[in-house]
Amino acid sequence: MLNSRVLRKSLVTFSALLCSGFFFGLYLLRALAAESSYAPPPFACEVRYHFREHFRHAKPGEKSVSAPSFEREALPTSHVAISDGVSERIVEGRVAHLPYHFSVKISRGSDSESGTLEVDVLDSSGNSLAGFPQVMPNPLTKTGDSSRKEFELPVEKDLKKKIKKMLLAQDQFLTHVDLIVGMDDDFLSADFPK
Amino acid sequence: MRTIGTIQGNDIIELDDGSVRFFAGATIDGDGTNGQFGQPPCYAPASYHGQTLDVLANAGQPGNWFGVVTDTGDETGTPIVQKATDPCSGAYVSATSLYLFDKNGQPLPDCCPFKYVDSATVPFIVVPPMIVSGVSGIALGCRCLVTNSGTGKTIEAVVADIGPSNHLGEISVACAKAIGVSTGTTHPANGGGAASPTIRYQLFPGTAAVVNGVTYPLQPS
Repeated sequence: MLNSRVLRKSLVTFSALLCSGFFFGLYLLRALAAESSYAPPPFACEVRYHFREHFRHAKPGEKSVSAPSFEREALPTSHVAISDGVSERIVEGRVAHLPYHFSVKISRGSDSESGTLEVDVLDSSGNSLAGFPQVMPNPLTKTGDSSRKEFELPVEKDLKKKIKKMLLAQDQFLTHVDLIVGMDDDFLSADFPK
Repeated sequence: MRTIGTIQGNDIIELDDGSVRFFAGATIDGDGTNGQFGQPPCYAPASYHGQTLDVLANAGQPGNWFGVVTDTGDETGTPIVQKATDPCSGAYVSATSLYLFDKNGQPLPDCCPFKYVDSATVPFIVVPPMIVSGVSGIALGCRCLVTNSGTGKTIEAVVADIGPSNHLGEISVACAKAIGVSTGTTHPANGGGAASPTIRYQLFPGTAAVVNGVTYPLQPS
């Protein structure tokens, strides 16, 4: 009696495990299929802190500021998700020197379409910054002049001062900050000059 | 052979023949583009209709114009706006550290758009002050070779601008396009660049650059 109850219980547990394994397998297969067929190609995002440098020792008549340059901070790598039959590639996260949360998403329903690019930048209270979210037909391609897209980020005076103090060298000053979304191989590599 | 210095982990080497070599990535400098040869300018007022190579924030704002030529020659002045007779009417005038001369070899006025090297059409590179002051020959205006080891493309270029002291590897928009470095979509000079330090820069200080048939002046600093 006891043995048959234990046996039944084991069978039920086994069947439940089998079923969940089956459905998990199905989910995995679906995700893999989506990844290989119409998942948007990988892209990466970075924040650029653009600056110039005053040349204290410039003689009269000489250019007294440097060419522009930038420091950069990368956002986390992208991941794929499937929502209502639409495949999305998402970059989400923060960088060390801005109090913002970034959410960048490319979604598409088939591999024949370039999809939609959605960029949102939220402040510490969870509200979108002025000018965001931005939603547009995905302009990015793997190569050529359209492999990058820039989004200028509003930065208040106090935050500018903080960034200058934390990131820039003596005589350097911040000009602006932007988010760059890129899809070319070069941008996807992790060793951009620091 | 001697090491002039190291920036961002990349050694700047002066060889026995006086040439200088380093590897770096590439950021993009749009300075000097004033529509000299029909391309969009680097900077223009917000009211300007048309593309610019860089965002206006990199030029400054009222009371602090650090990236364009002003009427007083300092940052508190008013930016010079190109006239109808200039190559890009309505745009600001953006400067490089290397200055060009008129056809008689005379200096051009600061407000002249042709005084500066056009980033949109001339392959040039930007070097940190350490190179300008540290090499034996004259660096500004000298010949250089830029090779993108990723694409295998090499181009003759000129040293035409000076960059920040702690950054190495910066090129003009024309140079980026020639060697296959990505440029930005909205503003080519703002969003582009090469990620890996796979660009090889070889400079020949003291040897005037000849690029697209134009000989550039060597400019002592």
